[in-house]
Amino acid sequence: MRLRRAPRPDGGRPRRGRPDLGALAPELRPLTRRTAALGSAATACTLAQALLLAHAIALGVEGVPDTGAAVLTLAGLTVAVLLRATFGALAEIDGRRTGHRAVAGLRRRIVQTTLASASSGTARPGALAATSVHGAEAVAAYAGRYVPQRVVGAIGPVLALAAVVVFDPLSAGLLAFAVPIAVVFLILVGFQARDAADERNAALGLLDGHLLDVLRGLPVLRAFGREGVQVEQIRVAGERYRGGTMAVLRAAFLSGFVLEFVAMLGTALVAVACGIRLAGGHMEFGPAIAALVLAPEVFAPLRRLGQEYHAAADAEPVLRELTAALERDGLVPDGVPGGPRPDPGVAAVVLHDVATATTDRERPALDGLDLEVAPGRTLALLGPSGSGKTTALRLLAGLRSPDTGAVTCGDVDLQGADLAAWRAGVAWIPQHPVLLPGTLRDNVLLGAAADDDAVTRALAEVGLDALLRALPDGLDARVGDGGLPLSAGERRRVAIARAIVRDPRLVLVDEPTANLDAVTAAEVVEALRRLLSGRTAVISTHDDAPLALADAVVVLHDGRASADTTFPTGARA
Amino acid sequence: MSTVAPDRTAAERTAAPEGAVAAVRRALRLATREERRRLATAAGLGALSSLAGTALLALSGYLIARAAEQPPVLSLTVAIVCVRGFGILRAVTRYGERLVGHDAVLGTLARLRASTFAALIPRVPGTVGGRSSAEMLDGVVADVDRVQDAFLRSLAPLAAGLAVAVAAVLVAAIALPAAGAIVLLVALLLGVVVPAVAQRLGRGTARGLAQLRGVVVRDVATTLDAAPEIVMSGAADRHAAAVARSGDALTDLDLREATRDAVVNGMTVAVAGLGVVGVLAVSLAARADGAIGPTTVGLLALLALGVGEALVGLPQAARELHSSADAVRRVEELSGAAEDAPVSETGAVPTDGTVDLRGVAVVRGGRTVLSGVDLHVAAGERVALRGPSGVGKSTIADLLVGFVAPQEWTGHARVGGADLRAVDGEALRRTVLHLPQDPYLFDATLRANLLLARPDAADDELEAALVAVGAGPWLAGLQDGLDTPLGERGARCSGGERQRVGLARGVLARGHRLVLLDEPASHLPPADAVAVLRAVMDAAPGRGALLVAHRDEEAALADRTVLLRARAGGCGEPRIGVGWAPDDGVAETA
Repeated sequence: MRLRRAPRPDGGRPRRGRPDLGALAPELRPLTRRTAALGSAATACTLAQALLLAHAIALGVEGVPDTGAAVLTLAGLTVAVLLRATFGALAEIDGRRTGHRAVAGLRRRIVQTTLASASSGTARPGALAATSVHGAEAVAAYAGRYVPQRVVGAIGPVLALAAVVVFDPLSAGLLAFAVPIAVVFLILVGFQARDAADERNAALGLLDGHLLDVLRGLPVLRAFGREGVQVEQIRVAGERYRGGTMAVLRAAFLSGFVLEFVAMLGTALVAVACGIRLAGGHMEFGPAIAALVLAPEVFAPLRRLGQEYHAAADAEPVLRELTAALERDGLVPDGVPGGPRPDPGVAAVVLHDVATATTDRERPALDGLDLEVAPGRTLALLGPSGSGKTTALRLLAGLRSPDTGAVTCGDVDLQGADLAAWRAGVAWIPQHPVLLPGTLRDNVLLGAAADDDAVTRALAEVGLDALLRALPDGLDARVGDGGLPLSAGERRRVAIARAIVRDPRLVLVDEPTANLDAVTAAEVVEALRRLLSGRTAVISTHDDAPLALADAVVVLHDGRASADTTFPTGARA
Repeated sequence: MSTVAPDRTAAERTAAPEGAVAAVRRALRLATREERRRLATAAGLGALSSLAGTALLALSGYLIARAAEQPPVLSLTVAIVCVRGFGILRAVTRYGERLVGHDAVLGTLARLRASTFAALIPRVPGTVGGRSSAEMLDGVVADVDRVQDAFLRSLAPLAAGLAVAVAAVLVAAIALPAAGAIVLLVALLLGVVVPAVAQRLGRGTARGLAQLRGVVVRDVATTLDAAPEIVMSGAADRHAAAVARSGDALTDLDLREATRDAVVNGMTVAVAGLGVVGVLAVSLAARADGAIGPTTVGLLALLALGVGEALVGLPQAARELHSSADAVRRVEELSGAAEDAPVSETGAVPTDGTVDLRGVAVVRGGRTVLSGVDLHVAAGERVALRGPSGVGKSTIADLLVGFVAPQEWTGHARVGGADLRAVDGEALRRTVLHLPQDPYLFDATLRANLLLARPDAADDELEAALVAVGAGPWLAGLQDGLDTPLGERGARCSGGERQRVGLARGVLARGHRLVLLDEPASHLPPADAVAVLRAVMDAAPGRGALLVAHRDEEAALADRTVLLRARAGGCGEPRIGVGWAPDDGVAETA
C-alpha cells in the first residue's frame, strides 16, 4: 500500500540521488551485506538459468536431441529456477522483516524517549502514531524489494554482459553501447518517478485535505446553503489536479518509455546481428541463442529497479518523520536518588532567577524568573501562550532542570533532592487530560493505590457522582476510546479526581478552563476549589476564570514576571 | 474442520471475500459508461503491449532457429521486421496505457470525490453524529483514494494477463497441444491458484492485523499526547511495558505477513520458471519423436519465457483487487445510498420565523436527549432559553434547522407553519440561521470564511461585520487582513476569535427570519458578549432570535425568557433521559 499524505517534517525536498535509508534507520544497515550475498546468488542463478535455457534450445534446434543430455539440462534448469526463486524469496523475507523491525524499533524508541523526557506538545500525535504503524509496510517494501533489486541491478547487467562477451563479442559490443543509455534513462526514471510521486502526493494531500475540510464543515455549509456550490468546486479541483498531474506523469512515463525502447532495441540488434550471421553460416547456433537469451537479462534488472523505485520514494518520508520525532527535549532529571525529600506542603517552593533555553525557539522560554509558592497557598501564573507558564510548571514538577538559577524547596535545591520522590508528591492536571483505554476506576487511579470508596468519594468531590450513579457498570464502566464518551469538562474533572486520590503535597494545574464555556468552566473551578483548599498549588492560565482560586497572581510575559504584578487577590483569605 | 462451531463458520462466511469476478464488476460499476470506455482503452493498450512483448520473444526464438537452417537472408526479412515492429509496439502501447489509464482514473477520482461529498450532504450532521464522525470522514477520503488502486494496479494488469494467457495458450496449443496445456496450467496457477493460496494463508491474520494496528496507533498517540501526565502519575514504566506488549504482538504478526508475502512472490517466480522447463521438456520430447521441427522448439521455448514474464504480476494484481475491495464497496454503498435518499427538497416552505414545538422528544443513539418539550416563538420575537447545561439545547437547534433525522424525533414541530417532517430542508435553513458555540472555520482565508455567509459581500461589508462583533482590533493586527489564512479548522485563531468569525457570519447573513444563538459568544469576555450578541440580533431587522443564555445580562437582550429545568425526580440519571419542561418557569420580560 502506498502511503500518501505522509508529511515531510523537515519541510524541504528530499536529497536527489540514490536513496539509502540506512542513515535514517540504523536497523536497516546490516541488511545491505546479507542482501548483497543473496542478491548475488539470485543473479548467478538467473544467468545459469539463461545459459541452461539456451543450451536446451540448442539441443532441440541443432538436431534430434539426445535424451540423456536433455534430461540433464532440464534438471539443471529446474535447480536454477528453484534456487533463484529461493534466493529471491530469502532476500525479500530478510528485507521485509528487517524493515518491519526497523519501524518497530523506531516506534519503541519514540515511546521511550517521549516518556523519558516527558515531552508534550507533539503537533499531530495521531498522525505520527499512524505513521509509526502504517508506515511499516512502505519500509518493508523498500527493504524487501528495492534494496535487493539494487544489488541485482548493480551486478546483473555486468555479469550478463561478461557472459555475452564469452559467447559473442560483437553482441557484447552492441549491448555495451546500449547499456549506458539505459542507465542514464534509469536514473532519469528514478528522479522523475520521485518528482511525480512528490507532486502527486502533495496535490493529493491538498485535495484530501480540502475534501476532509468541507466534509467536517458540512453543517456550516448547509446552514448557509453553500453545500451545492462545493460539489462543483470539489469536481473542479479534482480536474485541475488531473491536468497538473498528467503533465508531470507524461514526462515521467516518457523516460520509462525510452528505457524500454533502448532495452528492446539492444535485444533486437543482437537478434538481427546473430540471425544474419547464422543465416550466412558465419556463426554457430549455440553462441547465437546464448547471446539472444542473455541480452534481455542485461536490461531486465535495470527495468525492475525502475519499477521498484517508488518503494524507496514511499519509505523515505516515513523514516524521516519517525526519526525527527526522536529529537526531544532533555531527559527528565533524577536529582539525587535517596537524597533529601523536601515537602512543598510545609516549605515554600522558590524559583531563583531561573532561565531555560528551548531548542525550537530563538528566545529562552524563561528568562530570569523569580517566583515564590507559599505552602498551603495557591499561586496563579497569568499570561498569554508562549509566555513560559508551562515551562515554569515543568520546573516545579521536577520534569526538567533550569539552565541557570535554581529551584528550591525549604533549603534544598531540587537538583540535589530525590526527584522521583518529589514527583510522586506532585499532582499534574494538564490542559487536555488523557483518558486511557480502561475503566472509570483505572482512569481515576492511574496507577495510584486506593480503594473503591476513595475513588467514589473523589468523583463525588468533583461533582461526577451523578454520572457515576447513571452508569450501570459503575466504576467498571469503560470510558474514552470505544467506551463512554466524556465531555471536555468531565475529562478535566476526572483529572481533578485523580489528583484527589493521590493526596498530593503540590498541585500543578495547566490551563484548567481553556476552551470551556462559562458554565462548564465554573463547574471545573468549583471542583478545583475543593482539591486546592489547604494545599500548595500553582495554576497557569490565560483567562480569568481560575483567578478566583488564587491567593496571589503573577503575570508572566516573555519568560519573566512583569514588575509589580504579584498581588494578593484575597479571594480565599 | 468439522469441529468448527457453526456460528464461527457463519461468521467466516459473511467475512469471506467475494469472488474476483464480483469484485471486478463492483469496481467497474463505480465508473460511468464513458469512464469505462476509457479504462477499457487503457486495458486494451496494456494487453496489446503485453502481447507484443510475448510475441517479440516467441518470434525471436523462431527467427534464430530459422536462421540456423541457413535460408536465403531475404526470407528472414518479414520476421526481422515483425520483431522490430513488436518491440516498438510494446514500448509505445505501454506508454499509451499508462497515460490513458492514469488520466481516466484521475477523472473518475475527481467525479467520485464530488459525488461522495454530495452523498454525505444529507448525513452530516445527522446519522454520522458523535465522536466517530471525524474518523468516519477520514475513512471516506482514504476509501476514495484507494479506488484508483483497484483500477490501476488490479484491473489493468489482470486484463493484460488474461489477454496474454488466452493468446499464448492458443498459439502454443496449435504448435504443440502438450505445450498449450502447460501454458494453460501456468496461467491458472499464477492467475488463480497462487492468489488463492496467498489469500488462504492470510485469512487468519488480516483481521487481527487491522485490529492490532488500531490498538498500537491508539497507544502510541496516547503516549505522545500525555507523556507528562503519565510520567507524573508514576505510570511511565507500566505504560511503556503495555505499549511494548501490543507493539511486539503487532510486529510478530507483521513479520509473519512479511514472510508470507515473500514466499508467495518466490512461488510466483518458481511457477513461471518451471513453466519454461515444462514447455521445453515436451518440446524436446516432441522434437525427438520428430513431431515438430527446430523452429517450433525455438518459438515455444521463448514463448514460454515471455508468458512467464507477462503473467508474473498476476498474483500481485489479484491481491490488490482483494485488498481494495472493501474500500470500493464502501464508496459504492455511499453513492448508492445517495440515490436512495428521500428527496426532502420538495416539501413545504416556511413562511416566517415562528416556532411551534409541542411534546417534542428526541432519541439519539438510544439515548433520550429531549422529552416533552413545548416551545413557542412568535414572528420576530426574541426569546432567551435558560437552564442547566448539557440538557440538549443544541439538539433543539439541530431540530429547528432540520439536522435531526425524522426517525429520531417524535411530537409536533412546525417552523413558519411548515411541519418539520415535510419541510423543504434548504428552505428551512434559508429561514432559520443556526450560530453554534463552536463554529467550523475552513482551512482558507478569513475572507473566504466570511463570504460563505454572503457570497456577494464587498470587503468593506466584511470588515464592518468583523468590527460589529468586536473583532476590529484583531483584524487591524492581522498583517494580511482579510487574506489571512486561518489554518486547519481555524487552528490559527483562539477560541474567542473563532467565535467572532462565526458571529460575523451571523451579521452578514441575509434573508433569515429567525437566528438560533447557541452560546456563540461563550468564549468572549462577558461585557463584550452582550454587545456582540445584540449586534448580531440587530443586524437584520425583523429577524427573530432564540438565544441560549447563561447570564442575566444576556437574557436581558430578549423580549421574554423561557426557563428550562431538569425534570424533578429524574432518577439521578442526568445524562440519560433528562427531561425538562419549558414555560413552567417564570417568564420574564426585559
